[in-house]
Amino acid sequence: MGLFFSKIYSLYNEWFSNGPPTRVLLLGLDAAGKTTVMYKLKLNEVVTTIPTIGFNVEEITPVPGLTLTVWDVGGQEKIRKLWRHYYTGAEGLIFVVDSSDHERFQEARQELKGILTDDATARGIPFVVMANKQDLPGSVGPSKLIDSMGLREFRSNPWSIQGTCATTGDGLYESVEALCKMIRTYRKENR
Amino acid sequence: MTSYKNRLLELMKNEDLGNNVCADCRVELNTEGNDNWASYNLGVFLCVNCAAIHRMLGAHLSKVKSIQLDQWNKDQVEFMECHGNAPSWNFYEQNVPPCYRRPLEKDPQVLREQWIRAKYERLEFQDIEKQTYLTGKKSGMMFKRGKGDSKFMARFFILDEEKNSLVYYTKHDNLPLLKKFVVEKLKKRTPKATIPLFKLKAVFVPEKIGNPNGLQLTYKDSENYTRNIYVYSDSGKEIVEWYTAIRNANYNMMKVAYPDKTDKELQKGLLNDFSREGYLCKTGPKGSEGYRRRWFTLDKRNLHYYNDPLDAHPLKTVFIGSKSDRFACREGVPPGTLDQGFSFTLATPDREYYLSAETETDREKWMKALLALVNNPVNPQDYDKPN
Repeated sequence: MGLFFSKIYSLYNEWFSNGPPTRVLLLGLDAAGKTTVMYKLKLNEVVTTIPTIGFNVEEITPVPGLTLTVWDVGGQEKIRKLWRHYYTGAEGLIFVVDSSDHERFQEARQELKGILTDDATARGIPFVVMANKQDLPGSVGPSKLIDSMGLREFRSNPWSIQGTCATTGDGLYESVEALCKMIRTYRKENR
Repeated sequence: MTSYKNRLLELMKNEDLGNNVCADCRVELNTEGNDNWASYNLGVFLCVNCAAIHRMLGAHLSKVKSIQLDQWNKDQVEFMECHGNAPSWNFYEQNVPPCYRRPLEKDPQVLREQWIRAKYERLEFQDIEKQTYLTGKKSGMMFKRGKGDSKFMARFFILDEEKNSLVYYTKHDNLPLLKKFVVEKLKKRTPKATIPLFKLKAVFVPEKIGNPNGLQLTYKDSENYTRNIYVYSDSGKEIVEWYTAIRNANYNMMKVAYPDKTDKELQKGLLNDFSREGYLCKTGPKGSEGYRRRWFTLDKRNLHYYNDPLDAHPLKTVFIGSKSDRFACREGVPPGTLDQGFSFTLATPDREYYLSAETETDREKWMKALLALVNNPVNPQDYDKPN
């Protein structure tokens, strides 16, 4: 029991010694499923979404004692220019990809690269790729997506990838957990 | 050179191609606005709400772009110029049965989503074989709200147009495993209730039931009392198929009743939604007792009111006749009567009802709906008087 509490305490310390909730960006091309991911995580419900013009922001507590402020910003081409206003202070990125939309993997890659190399983005922040819409016919698995998007070339950032289906919730928590772990390491290293 | 965006906006003004309305819900598109969408592999223009559903279908079926907020390329714009809404209707809507309810702008989400899925995902309107709701027979499970305990329980329903009935059974071991022989066995048992399809009304009431697929079935029981049954299905496709099967039965009966009417005329008489529903407060006939909150439903010329929105039977039903029969509706209540604000009076030859709405707009809407009835003569078919 004593061990249990000390563990909780150290967890608490690790996350709260750093002050306010962790800012995380939820980005990706239009129709990747960002808003559906967000509200599935937040409410565990599949909400009917319309294209996001602007942004949604929610606090999510994926594990007890850890709060993320997630910014879900619309993905339509002309609003992508606005993404950079959200970069400053972000400690992690969730990048959602529609795994069934083969034609746009390169476009997705370009946008991801753009975020990570932008001046406003903190150097080397961790990101997780959600290979979303795994339920759709013709969707590719995470390992295939690593190749298609050339993710191995992103060497200056810790990253991870997870197959997800936002409507069922499959893989969402695993992705967020992986991101949390990377954020923790990133913080230790950049203290 | 005109920009791609302007070429698209110009294209949206082409009424011959039907590009001025949403390809799915037919709402008028506003090229001045910032909220115009298109599917660039189907070549159709869409409103934001239908575009949202196209995005759910997946990019293998529909690729959606915003006219204003996305970049277009030459090929995509040319593709749009070669296609458009009307050609797509000829293809995806070649065989929409007359009983099918095409969703309009304000209709429940389940109707809109299933219409779009039926069109592009299931290609339901290209192949009459796929329209199982036209066979006059349907069986399956729905969750039905208990009359007493208000819990939703799985019940087995069988619709049979030949027998003019919708029946349901309560005993249902291993419902998901129900095979044909079990259905046969069930048919030998006495159903929990038998609902005559004649004048059975089905209305989507998602908010009231608290389920996006919530459906209200209203009919007259053997003593001619209004009876409501509240059901839902976990599957949007299923509930719309039930709804359409009931509408189809309705349509077939109307066709027999009015052989000379066209499909368009018959469609007007098909199951309509309630003209209006909501809370009002009412006081007793003396007008001096306290006001009580009741749930009112205006269904054609019948105004029902309930204790609770999900009650099986109304407390009372008031028939709304025309002014020539001394029916009237006016703002306010007579002097000396308790007034609770936003009040109005509904006068019938037997009694005056003193009612109070929750807001000014609410009162206006109720009075408008009631006056529309009072100011119009009563047709013989309207004499569907309650007990």
